[in-house]
Amino acid sequence: MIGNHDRRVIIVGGGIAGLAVARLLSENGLPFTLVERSDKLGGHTKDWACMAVDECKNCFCCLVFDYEDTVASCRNSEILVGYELSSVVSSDSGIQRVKVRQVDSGAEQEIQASALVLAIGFDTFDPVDKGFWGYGQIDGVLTLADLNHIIRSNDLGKLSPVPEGALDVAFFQCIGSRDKSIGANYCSQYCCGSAIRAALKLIHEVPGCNVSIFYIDLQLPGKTTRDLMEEAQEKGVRFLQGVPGEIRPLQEGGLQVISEIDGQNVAERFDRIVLSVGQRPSASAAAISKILGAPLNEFGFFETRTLFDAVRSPANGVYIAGSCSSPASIPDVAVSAGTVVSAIIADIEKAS
Amino acid sequence: MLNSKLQTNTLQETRANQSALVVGNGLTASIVTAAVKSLGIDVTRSKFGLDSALLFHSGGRGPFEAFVRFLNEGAFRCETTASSTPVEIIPVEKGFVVTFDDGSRSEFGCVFFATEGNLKPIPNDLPDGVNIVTPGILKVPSSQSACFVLDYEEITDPSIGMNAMRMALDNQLSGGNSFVLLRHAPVQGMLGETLYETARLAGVRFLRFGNIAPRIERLQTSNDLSIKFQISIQDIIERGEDILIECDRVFVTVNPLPADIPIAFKHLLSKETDPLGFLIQDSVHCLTGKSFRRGLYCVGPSTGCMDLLETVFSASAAAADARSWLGLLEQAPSSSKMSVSEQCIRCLTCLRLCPHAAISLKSQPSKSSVNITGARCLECGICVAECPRNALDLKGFPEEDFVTLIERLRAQNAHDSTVVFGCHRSAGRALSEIELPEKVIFFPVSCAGRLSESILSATLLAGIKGILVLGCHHGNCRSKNGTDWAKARLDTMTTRLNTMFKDIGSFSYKTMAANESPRMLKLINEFLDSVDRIPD
Ligand code: SF4
Ligand code: SF4
Ligand code: SF4
Ligand code: SF4
Repeated sequence: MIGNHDRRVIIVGGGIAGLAVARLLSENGLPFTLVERSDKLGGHTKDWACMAVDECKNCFCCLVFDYEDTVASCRNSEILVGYELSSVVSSDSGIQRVKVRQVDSGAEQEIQASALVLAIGFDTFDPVDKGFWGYGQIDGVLTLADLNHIIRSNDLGKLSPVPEGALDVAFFQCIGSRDKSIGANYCSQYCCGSAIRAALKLIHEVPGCNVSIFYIDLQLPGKTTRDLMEEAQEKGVRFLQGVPGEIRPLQEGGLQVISEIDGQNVAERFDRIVLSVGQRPSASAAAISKILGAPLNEFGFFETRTLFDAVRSPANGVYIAGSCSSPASIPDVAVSAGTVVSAIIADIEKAS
Repeated sequence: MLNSKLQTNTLQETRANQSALVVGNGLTASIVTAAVKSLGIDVTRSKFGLDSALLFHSGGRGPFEAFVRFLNEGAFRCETTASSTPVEIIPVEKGFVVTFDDGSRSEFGCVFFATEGNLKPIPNDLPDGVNIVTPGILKVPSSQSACFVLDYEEITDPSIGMNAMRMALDNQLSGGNSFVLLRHAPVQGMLGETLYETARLAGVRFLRFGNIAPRIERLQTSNDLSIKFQISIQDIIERGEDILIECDRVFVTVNPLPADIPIAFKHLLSKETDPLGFLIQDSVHCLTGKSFRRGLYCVGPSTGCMDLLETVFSASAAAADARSWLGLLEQAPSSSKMSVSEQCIRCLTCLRLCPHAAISLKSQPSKSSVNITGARCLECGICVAECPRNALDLKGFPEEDFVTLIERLRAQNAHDSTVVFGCHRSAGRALSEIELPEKVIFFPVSCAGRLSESILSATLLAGIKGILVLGCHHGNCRSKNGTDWAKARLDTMTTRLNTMFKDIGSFSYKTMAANESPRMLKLINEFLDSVDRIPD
């Protein structure tokens, strides 16, 4: 029974989803144990950059700091960094106990559990897996994540090949998303908005920077993203339908792509090409799925019960938060974490 | 070690008087009511606005029948306990006092604004007989041809676009003939791509236009019962001649329209709109339906969200937050965070300015007094800094701390020092990753909004080189406009002091986020350089 408070809600994963769940659980008086495998909390979000240009552009990355602060001060709960899930004991009524293992030492400990929340997030698509963009081989090809790391370290000067010179940047959308050949025939939800924000940031920070965005379809969910696109158009960002399949390094420096403009094939030169890489299921999803008996869906993300019951796993007592059940943007993750906490409390209410 | 930390804890009790008011007549209010009820919170639902269900289904290929069932589900059509409409809502210490149009008055711990929305009007350059896409299943007689035009005037909201795509698929599967004209195929959610693919495989024809929207004309027919349309479109993929389509029905998507804010909510909500007029700003602090007015939530179409699934999830998330809010209301001893002195003349400046509706007026037989709800107050200090009588102080971040700082600066004769006032949630956090240059004193504040003109000028007049204020970015302030207050005050101070003194130090205001430590260091160094450049 979940209502027994000697037992905790186990949260697997300390990225923004896990932190959001932890925060809301503790605000509702439910003790948790958060287990994070790596050596730090915050996941991908922690390494991404602020996209503000004179004002906040709602990339939502700084949210992770607010969550982390609240979670760090939670009483009656614990955070185990450098630990992973090793086994569970469940009964018909749900999860009973879990064992967690310290990644370094292998030492195990057992925790009385009332429920388990999966918040293991996603892996970024590695463009090396699908050779054609020359990522890792051709200088100047980077991923949206790499670009964020550069912005975060305030190293944008490094982007221009000639200091203070012009900088032509292209974004390639849907890299590793909407691609049936790799089993990723879904939209990763976050990358159109992220690329447009990054484009605005580059134009703001780097004088003489021109940006082109090559897309298949732009996904602009949310009420203000459409305005973001208009702003980008006003600031001179070119939006071009169709993503070039190949990048060629030029002898004189720079990168050449063939794009189709007004029905004509045109060769264009860019200094940097940013691959807007999609979200893939976490590499540990399969192992965790086995431990918990929580099934994965056709894409490799955690399956949920129904369309409307989208945070409960078919496995009893297992809840799924954030991008490990479906690719998500940060606001989606925050809502999903809230829905998980709501489902846990509703289940307690029902049981009592 | 683990066990020593393990303590029992109970789910915070919600009291009977801690109930929620859900305002709205439609499906959204039903969804919110169900979500709040499922967490053991008492709900009163009050009438307001439209009762049509204007939520679109974007749930990918997911079962459409489930959607229809969901729409009709009895559980969500729960009884309206108050048949009256709220006419006044006032934040008080334990929540909100709501007055209804029948004269009754009740207290609620939290209030959900969950009214239905509207769609923009059909573009007026379209011929008669063109329909707009509304939620639900397309009921056209089979073997009709239907054309769905997305992104006609502006890019279509993805949930509305997907609803249209699904209607096209339904029509195709029931023997009709469907065309979808668009600029961007909407593929929201994990199954969006699958829906798009299924529609293509089923024979729905997709055509993609560029900057030039398709031209839609009505064909003259002898028999008025069978309306026919002709559409010409310049397809940017299959270039060449314009493509002509003839069809029986045309559906165009239009985006949501912000609704009027009812009078009862005006004082609470008029400042809670985004630039488009929808409720709730796109802000890190407003995710999951939270408004800056603590205890007041907005969910669904009034916030610009026309998506059924998103509304279901955000209602649940808001309910979980509301539950913790009710717990907080129960615990927090009133006004523990703030002191109000005898100096108060009840001008109500503080009440007007508090972004979180934490200040209320307590009427007492002898004399009324301002009252601070501890649970609501986020210690931004905006009220403290703006009180004309200096009657307020934050207990956790008292004025005394600033006085101590200023005295220390004077005593040290710190003319070569620079003070950086930084908001704790941005600069304060980024600080841990940088090493401050010499002679820089960092002073964290609960919010830049606490920095009153008097603190800023007194610090500067202590004889230091300069003051740099680091607030959160505009639009990212936890107290909404604390950072803007700091900027405005610095601006005023610049004008005032510069006319009086010549050789006082300089000051500057910059904004940043917690993940910008390298930039923070750069801002500080740039400020130091600019200060040094000023000749003595
Ligand atoms: S939400 Fe994003 S853009 Fe806004 S302040 Fe935070 S990190 Fe910067
Ligand atoms: S969000 Fe945009 S870039 Fe990302 S997968 Fe979807 S359509 Fe492609
Ligand atoms: S602003 Fe100051 S004087 Fe005016 S009501 Fe508030 S505390 Fe009293
Ligand atoms: S400190 Fe800020 S939140 Fe608290 S009462 Fe004053 S204005 Fe409101």
